Amino acid sequence: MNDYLPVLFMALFGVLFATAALGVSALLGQRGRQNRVKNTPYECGMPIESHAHARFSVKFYIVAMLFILFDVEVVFMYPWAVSFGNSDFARDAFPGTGLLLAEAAAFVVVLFLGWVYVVKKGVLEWHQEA
Amino acid sequence: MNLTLLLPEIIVIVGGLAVMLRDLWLPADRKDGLWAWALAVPLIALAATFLPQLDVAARISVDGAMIVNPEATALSGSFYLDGMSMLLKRAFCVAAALVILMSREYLSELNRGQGEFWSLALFALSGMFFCASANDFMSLFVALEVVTVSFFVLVAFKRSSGTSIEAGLKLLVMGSLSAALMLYGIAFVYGASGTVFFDQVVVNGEVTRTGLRDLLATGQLVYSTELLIGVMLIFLGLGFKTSAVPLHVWVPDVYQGAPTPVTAYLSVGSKLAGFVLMLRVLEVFSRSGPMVDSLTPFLALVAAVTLFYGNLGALPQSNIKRLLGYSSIGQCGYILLGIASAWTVGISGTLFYMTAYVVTNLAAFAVVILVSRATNSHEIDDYSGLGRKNPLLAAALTVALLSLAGVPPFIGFFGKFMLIGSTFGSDELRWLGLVGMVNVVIALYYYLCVIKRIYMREERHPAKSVVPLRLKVVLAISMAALVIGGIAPQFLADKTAEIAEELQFAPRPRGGEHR
Repeated sequence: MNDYLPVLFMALFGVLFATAALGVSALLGQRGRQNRVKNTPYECGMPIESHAHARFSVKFYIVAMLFILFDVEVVFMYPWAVSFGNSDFARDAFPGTGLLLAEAAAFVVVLFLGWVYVVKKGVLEWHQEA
Repeated sequence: MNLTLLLPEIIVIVGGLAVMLRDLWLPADRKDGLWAWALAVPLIALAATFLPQLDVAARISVDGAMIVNPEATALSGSFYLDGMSMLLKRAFCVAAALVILMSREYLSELNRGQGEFWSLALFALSGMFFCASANDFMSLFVALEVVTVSFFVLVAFKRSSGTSIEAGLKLLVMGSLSAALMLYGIAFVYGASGTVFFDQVVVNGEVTRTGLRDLLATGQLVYSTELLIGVMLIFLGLGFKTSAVPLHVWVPDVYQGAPTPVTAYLSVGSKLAGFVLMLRVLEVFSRSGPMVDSLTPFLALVAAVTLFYGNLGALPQSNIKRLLGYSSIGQCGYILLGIASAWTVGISGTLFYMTAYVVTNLAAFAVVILVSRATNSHEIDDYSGLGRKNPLLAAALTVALLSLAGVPPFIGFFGKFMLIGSTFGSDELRWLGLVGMVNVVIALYYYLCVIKRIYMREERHPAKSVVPLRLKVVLAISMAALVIGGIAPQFLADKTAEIAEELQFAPRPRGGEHR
């Protein structure tokens, strides 16, 4: 159980730090004057154009999601590349490096098919009305 | 390394991708034909499971001890093919094929997303395949999430329907919670043991990775509270998939809100994937006395509460899909009886009941789809007079419900008989058998209430259901399985007994004699 004491201390410290930070700033912080302009959210120093709950085209979200998807999937190539280059590891873990190559190829092909799907569905065409 | 073992999985994944791509190049008016492509995939995969190359002995004897045959593993030991995974893969293929046959009518009502529906159903199938063959906690988790993530989308497939979106969201939230619980449990097990693998892998006489089972067998890993907490959390996470208490609250809502073919798929596919993994995890720890001593009361309690919750909750339901949702919680309780008993006969009964449950539940949902297409309602009151309107449909629903209730001579009776019987071998689990018997009686009431409406009430909707050929095939196959499996259960029971012998469960009930 002693092994878990650091975890307990870490949790306690986290709670203490959060409450202390909030409490101290509430105690010592100066209450400045408040007015309407001062309470508006900061927007590059410019007067606020519109409400924050504006509607965006759904395409923004889809493109952002696709970016994350492909980005994260490509991240998997790095550990693969390292272990593929490290031939000792590759030989031990997978007898026959041809298989290691084939597995990565299968992964890339599936990624590519996903991309074909995205393009064919017209997600990246912005001029069309969805 | 033996990639041939992965052939059914490869077929399903390539098939799923092929359906997805085929859909992209099909003109809108010809998309209806896509179901035949989708149907071909599980059928080809089913045929592939019978290839002689996949018939590898799961265990071999080395120096008098039975160890995992390296020839039956693939992907450096993460993938394992034994009798249980083969049986479950075949059951999953049948389930997917029947669901695809049922979905075609429903999908023609949607004007978009046919290709996605089929390919997601097939991707979920590939996840179920990997669940059946998972041999370490990482592949267990990934395989299970492949199933769950596909179902998030499938459940919310009816985009214009609020209830469908709500069901999808509920499944997403509860699914994430259960996945987090399960990962937490896996972390505990890893912390206690230093490995996530079930079995060790020996390549050229050298141990390339150590497995939990071997650590337990050699005494390098002993019972500890961390290990127990980890395994319990994993069981809770898996209990979400099998709709066991306490992560069961999503079941009635999601079953009601999801498109009916998806509900049917969810109720057999996702559930059985959870059960097969429960069996796998329990098998790993089944030869460690202290672990079993601590897990048995836990599983028995979960089973008893699940039984009562499902069967009592079903009593006041007026919606057939909700009723089947609660009934599916109750059925989960019966299967847990066999898992909690954790000896060969109980496991054999579990596998028997799991297989029987596929055809029984799919038959019930096929009728629900047909009736709701005519009456546009899922209210049980609208089943009144079905016996006069559609005698064959009414008979099919009656047989399916009686089999779910466990009335002889249908297949469900023998499953329940084996499950409840297995608890009576052990002195300390006898109470659980009594709970099971009490619940059979409770369940009989609400199943019979539906049957009473079918035959003894005046009809409310004059509209007769038209039964398309595809659904006739579904009903014919499932009715044949229900009746033949009930009259001659020996064929399947022998098979499951053989599979249970192969698994490393205790050959005798705990604290009792073999009878």
